[in-house]
Amino acid sequence: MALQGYLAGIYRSVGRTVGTTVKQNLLDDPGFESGTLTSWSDTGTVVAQSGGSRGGSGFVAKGTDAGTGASLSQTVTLASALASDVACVAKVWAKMQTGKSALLTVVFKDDADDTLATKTMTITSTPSYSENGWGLWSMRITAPEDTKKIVYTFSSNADQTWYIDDCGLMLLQQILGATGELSASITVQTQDITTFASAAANSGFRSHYPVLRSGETITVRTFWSTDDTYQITEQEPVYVLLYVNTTTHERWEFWAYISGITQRFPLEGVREGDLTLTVEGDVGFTSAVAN
Amino acid sequence: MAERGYNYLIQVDTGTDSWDALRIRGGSFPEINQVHGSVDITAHGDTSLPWRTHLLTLYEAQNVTVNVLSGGDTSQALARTFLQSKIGDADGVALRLVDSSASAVVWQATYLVTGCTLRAPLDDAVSYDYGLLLNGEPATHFGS
Repeated sequence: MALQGYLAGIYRSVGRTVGTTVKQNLLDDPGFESGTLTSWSDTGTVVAQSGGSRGGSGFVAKGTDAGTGASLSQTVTLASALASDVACVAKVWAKMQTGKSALLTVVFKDDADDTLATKTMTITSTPSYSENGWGLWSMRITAPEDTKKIVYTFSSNADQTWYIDDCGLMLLQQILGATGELSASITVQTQDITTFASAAANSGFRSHYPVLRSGETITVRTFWSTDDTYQITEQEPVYVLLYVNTTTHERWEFWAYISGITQRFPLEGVREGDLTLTVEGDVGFTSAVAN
Repeated sequence: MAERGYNYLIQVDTGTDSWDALRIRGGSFPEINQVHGSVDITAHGDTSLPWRTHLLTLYEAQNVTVNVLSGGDTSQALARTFLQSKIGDADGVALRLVDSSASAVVWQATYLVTGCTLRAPLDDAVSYDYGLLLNGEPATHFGS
């Protein structure tokens, strides 16, 4: 019985040289952890604010739009222009005011500063899955051949206060697909916080509090590679788009390290391999696509 | 005590003034146990009482894992995505077990969503296992 059966595509984040550094996430200070916006250009009232993030005590960017617009933008200049079209993903974690929206815009330019392509995504206050009001917004687009500069802009034009965090701009290459059983887990550690008072208030039932979330390791069995010349290496950071339903674009997105590779060479069949992905950092859920 | 059978629904309070049912894979629902923990307080020195004595302590309610299929109707999709959005949320989510044939709520409580495992096999439906941890006194339980 086959009902849905869509499986993961695992993408490699293609590191590109920006300035003198090879970067996976092309943006500088994508999570505003410097506590400033020196890597960004802003219009209107935008500040880096301590606290208020989805979790932890890091910084976020807070925009206060009085109805005249507020935006945050960063231009990435690649060391060399793209020699061919490359898959690209632009993402942002955003928290919007109820009923309000904003735009994530990515503009691709060539060496002469001429625009090659412009892609936008509308970000609303109702993401597919929210975490304390925050939602992941992500769009898969194509960076055209000859792209030298990429302009990443989050902008609003409505009376509201917005927050963004953990921005991302990656060039991708699908490297793996899986042909067998696949499972991916998120776990939450909890602590029993039952006290005499709470035990009495809860008629003798225990009270708990969630402490830490983590993505676990994911074993990918019997993967195939789209590129025979690509060599998977241990500890390589990859950006994983784990599609659950390609029709509705439901997917998990996260960074992971390849932490274990097993290869099999059956005499009577094709080469097979298993690998393990160790999830690094947060895991987002989204069904967002470019407009 | 266990509640089993096809006539039960697990519903989620999605905050939309309605309880939306999860699209549970057919079969039995997870067992719900509600037992008192106990401490052996047998004291030495009372030779006239060779039998052990105990003191009841807090309820040890079994934590459950539900296997939810992706897709379904709008209400079922809402119930699952709402549960997903509450992973690690300290407020948890209100769940209830309903005997659909009798339209009776058998069990209703707040749970912390302690984990999610995506299962994506090629030859079967995509499904999710959600770990649920009972938090505090149930609104409706076997002793109430």
